[in-house]
Amino acid sequence: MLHLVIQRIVHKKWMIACLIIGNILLAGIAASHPLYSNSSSQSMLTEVFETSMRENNKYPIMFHSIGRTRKNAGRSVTAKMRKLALGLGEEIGLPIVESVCYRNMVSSTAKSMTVHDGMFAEMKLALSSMSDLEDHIKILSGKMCSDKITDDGFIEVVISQTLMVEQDLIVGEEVEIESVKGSDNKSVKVRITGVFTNALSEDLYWYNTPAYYAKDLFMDNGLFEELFIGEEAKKNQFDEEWYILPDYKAVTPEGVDYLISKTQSIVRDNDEIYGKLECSDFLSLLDSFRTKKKQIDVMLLILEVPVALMLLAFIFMISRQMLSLEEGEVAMLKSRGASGFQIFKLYLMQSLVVSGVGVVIGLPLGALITKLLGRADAFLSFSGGRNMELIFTWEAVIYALIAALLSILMTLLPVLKKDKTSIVAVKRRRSRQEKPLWMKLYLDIIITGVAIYGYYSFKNGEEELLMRVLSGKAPDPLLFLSAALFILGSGLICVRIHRILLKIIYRLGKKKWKPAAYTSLLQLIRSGNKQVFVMVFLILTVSFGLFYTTIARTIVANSERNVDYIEGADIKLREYWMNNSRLGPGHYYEPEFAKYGSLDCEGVAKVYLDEHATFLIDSRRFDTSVMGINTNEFGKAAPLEEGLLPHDYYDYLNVLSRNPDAVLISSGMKNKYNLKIGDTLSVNLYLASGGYHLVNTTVYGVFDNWPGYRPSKIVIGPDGKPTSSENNLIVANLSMVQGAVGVAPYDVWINLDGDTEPFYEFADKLDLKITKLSDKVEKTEKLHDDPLFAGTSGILTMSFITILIICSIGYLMYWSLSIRARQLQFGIFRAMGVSFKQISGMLVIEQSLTGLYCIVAGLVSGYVASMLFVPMIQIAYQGADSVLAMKLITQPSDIIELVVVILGVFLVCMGVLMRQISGMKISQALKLGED
Amino acid sequence: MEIIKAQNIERSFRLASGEKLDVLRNISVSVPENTLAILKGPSGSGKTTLMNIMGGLDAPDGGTMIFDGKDIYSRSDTDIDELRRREFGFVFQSVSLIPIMTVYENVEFSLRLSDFKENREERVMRCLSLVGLDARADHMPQELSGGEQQRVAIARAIAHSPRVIFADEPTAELDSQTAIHVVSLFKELVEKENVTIVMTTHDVSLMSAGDIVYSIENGVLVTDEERTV
Repeated sequence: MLHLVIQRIVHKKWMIACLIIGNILLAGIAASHPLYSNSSSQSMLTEVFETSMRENNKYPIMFHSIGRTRKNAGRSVTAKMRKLALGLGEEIGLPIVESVCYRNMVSSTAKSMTVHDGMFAEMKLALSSMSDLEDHIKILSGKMCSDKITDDGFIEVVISQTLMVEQDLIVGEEVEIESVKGSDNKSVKVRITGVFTNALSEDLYWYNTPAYYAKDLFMDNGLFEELFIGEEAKKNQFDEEWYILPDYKAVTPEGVDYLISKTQSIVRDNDEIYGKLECSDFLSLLDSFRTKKKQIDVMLLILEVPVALMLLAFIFMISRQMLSLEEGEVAMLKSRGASGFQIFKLYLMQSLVVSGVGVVIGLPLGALITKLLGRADAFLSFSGGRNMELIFTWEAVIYALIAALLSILMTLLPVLKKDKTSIVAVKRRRSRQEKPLWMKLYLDIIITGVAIYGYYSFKNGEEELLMRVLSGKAPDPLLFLSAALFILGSGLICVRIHRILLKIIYRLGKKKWKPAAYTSLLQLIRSGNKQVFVMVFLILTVSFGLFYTTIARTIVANSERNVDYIEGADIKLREYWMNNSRLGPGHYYEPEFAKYGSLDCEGVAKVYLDEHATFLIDSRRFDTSVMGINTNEFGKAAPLEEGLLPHDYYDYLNVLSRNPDAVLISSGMKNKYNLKIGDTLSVNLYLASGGYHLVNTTVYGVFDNWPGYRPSKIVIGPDGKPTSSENNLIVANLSMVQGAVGVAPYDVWINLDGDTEPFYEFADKLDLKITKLSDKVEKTEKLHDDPLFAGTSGILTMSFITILIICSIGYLMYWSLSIRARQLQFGIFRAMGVSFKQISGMLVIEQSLTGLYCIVAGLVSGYVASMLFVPMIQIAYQGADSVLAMKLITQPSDIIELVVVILGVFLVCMGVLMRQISGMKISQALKLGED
Repeated sequence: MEIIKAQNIERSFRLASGEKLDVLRNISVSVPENTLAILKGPSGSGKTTLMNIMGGLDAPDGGTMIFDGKDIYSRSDTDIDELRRREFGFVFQSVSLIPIMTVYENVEFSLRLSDFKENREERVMRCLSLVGLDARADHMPQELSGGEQQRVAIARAIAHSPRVIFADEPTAELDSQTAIHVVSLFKELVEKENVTIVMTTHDVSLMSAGDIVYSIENGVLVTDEERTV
């Protein structure tokens, strides 16, 4: 049996090769799903932690245990908490990168033993110790404290710089701590020997910076244990705290669930009055990671399904084609007594071999695809810098096997159908011409109808869709199904229209058509069924191709537009503004602005933003933001995308500059408060020194969009439901604003034409002290690296390439087979005196009428599908950050690429066909026909 | 006056084994105008090859093939195509109708090819009635019996008024009754349509119908019989 199978495989090597290619691609794509999901989620998880660290300036995962030991009570609580802290790493399954023990005598009252201004100063200070303190500090003045009590009975301590400044303590100062008793039952006396700060600016040891310890007198840790903890020690009341920092890089996506539940149970089980365990807010990070991962998984799966289905259809098509070539063979086997089961077994073994090869090669291909997906940064571009670590799991094998199983089913489906074939039935069927079933049942119209119904119900629920996405859920897969159904349905309708068009063309010139055109038309009209499948296939390829490029391009381009808009300028920064102590709080020295003149850039502007201003309508106050700008500078530093305002952006700036009191207001504000141009508007500007300053302004213009302005903000309520509220903005002249608020910190907006590198060099050279910085270029780059974006671009690209491959193979195979089947016919034509040129002409006409038609039909149906569905799919990607109305983006180069590839396939097809025909001997072709 | 004259025709094929197989050896035949000529011989004798050479479908390795006083194979390929289109008609052993065309369209197609200027519909219907199938003009070939299909093929072969019709075993797949009917149709055509017909057959019972019969065996001409017309 196996021998027979192998023989058949060798015999049908081209078909089998096509089947194997289909299977490899299917298994590869299936395997890449879990591979990418796992691999990307590792980097995503790390990214979640690192973002949090950057934003909060705190190590992301921290456990904090506190045990309080009461006076004269046992030490069991502290001992228990200590044990817990030390065993925590093992418990949660993560290595510990830093573990710090901090002890302090609770509310020690300290009395300076030095006379200050004629009296003893009393302070609330704590006698404390930290494990390994000496390894993590730098002594600024004085020396490190000793680990023994001095000969004159003092405990030596060091203090943080903050404590020194705040309490005016100096090295050498001696303090008596009344509430802490030594072994002689007298209050302990301490002497400050040094002032320290952290040795390294970034040291995990300092989860709390030294400034946090502004009440602590740190004595030697060993001495602390000896005096206050040991068996002999005097029973004093103290707190023992542990800061445990597990390695966040060791958290794996699979370990997230365990980590969450374990952390929750540890925290819950250790919550007593005198001892408890807390943790930093990393659970919400893990939670948001889980949500995002789920969202990505669903999205990517949704995007992969159409291409997987097309691959299955491809496998089905080839199997069917192969079977129809083998009809005679099968019928012969049957008439020689082979049972249906035996024939079925033959095909089953064949497809097992083919799918087996598919899985074996598909798995490494899946790994390669995953790598590529990780590097994807845009549609048809794999130049992202991210080098994702590949994480292999058995899931990949399971996915590939499921794909193989489906493929086997697809291969056997035609066999099951044809199994009842006898030789007579074969001959009979060959002469029959019928409309395909779907055409008779009007399935094309029905499918399109269902898709349009889906479209309208989503359209009506667009708000809901947005809210769903904002609350972290993946968009409804039915949306994508509707889109796919629409493409399928409209593709089928195009095939139906094709028939009608052909008939019309044929009728128009029935009498006049030259033999070539005449034959081609008749061929297409009368044997249409045979090419229906390949036509549907071709139309779907083009329309999915277009749809995919549109999704990919639109998502990325719109997100970029939004970043562009929200950021307003390439660089936004706030320099350090020193307090002017002469004038009191809220008064500053302005950093020199003229230096920016030496920066090579397109524009630089001062932008004052007051987010706490109010305006008055009928003596009622409403919140607003006020932006103060120099119109000329601002126009150069903050360009605005064209089309976002009804008039030219610079017209608005010009209007504003015409009158010092002029303001522009946001359109939401105008509508809500019924304001109009020319109205006087009283605005209360917030003063940093406290209070407000009232100015009277005149409304000169209204805008919908303004660089950096969000018309509304979406807030996720406590119930998890997002709600939207309006933002008001008043744009005014900087001179007017500054006249009211005085010298107050403003931001500097810089336009560097997309390359921020020169700015950093500039900032380095001048050693700018920057307190706030926002870099648009960096944000845009991050956008491309987002696993959801990269995965989407990558999968859409892979799908597109896959579709192109299978379409090329399918098309070539279909034509080459159909030529072989028509060899006799061509022989007759040649005998009747039809020249080789005329036959070539026939094929060119046939191919153009089908192929070119399919391209055009595919482009139309793909474009309509994009117009309808992409705006809603876009919602899934925009999140709360989206401000601008979506713009459908198609990149002509993609369409050209698509069409060029398909035309290339045509040309190859034509080349192959021509060769087949030109090599044909008329007498031989006729002879073939006799068999 | 002979319309077709084959002189010292040689034709050999290379077998897959590399051996040379001489199919036709030094054959000379001539067919007078307005006759029904029969090439007879057992299968594999080379009669079909000879007829293909006569009909401009296959070039000989040696000898000249003269039609209407001129060597066919000294013409260009385009001219040979044109010759087949305008001057020749073909009927083949197996069903050779174009499956996507109706009976009517099959016949009309040869008119389209030869650029037939007169009323095409009339001509098609005349040819169909000549073969007795004018009532089935709108049928598809698959809906006809083998004999009927062969008659349509004959109608197609004569439609554009060729000067010679080549028929390769036209009766091989027909029962003897139908075969006789087809041959008598040929005789009728020679008379009414002023055409010359060259037909191959291995069926001895049909020999008597031929005006001239060439007998070929193993690529060599054995005898030729000429009857009085």
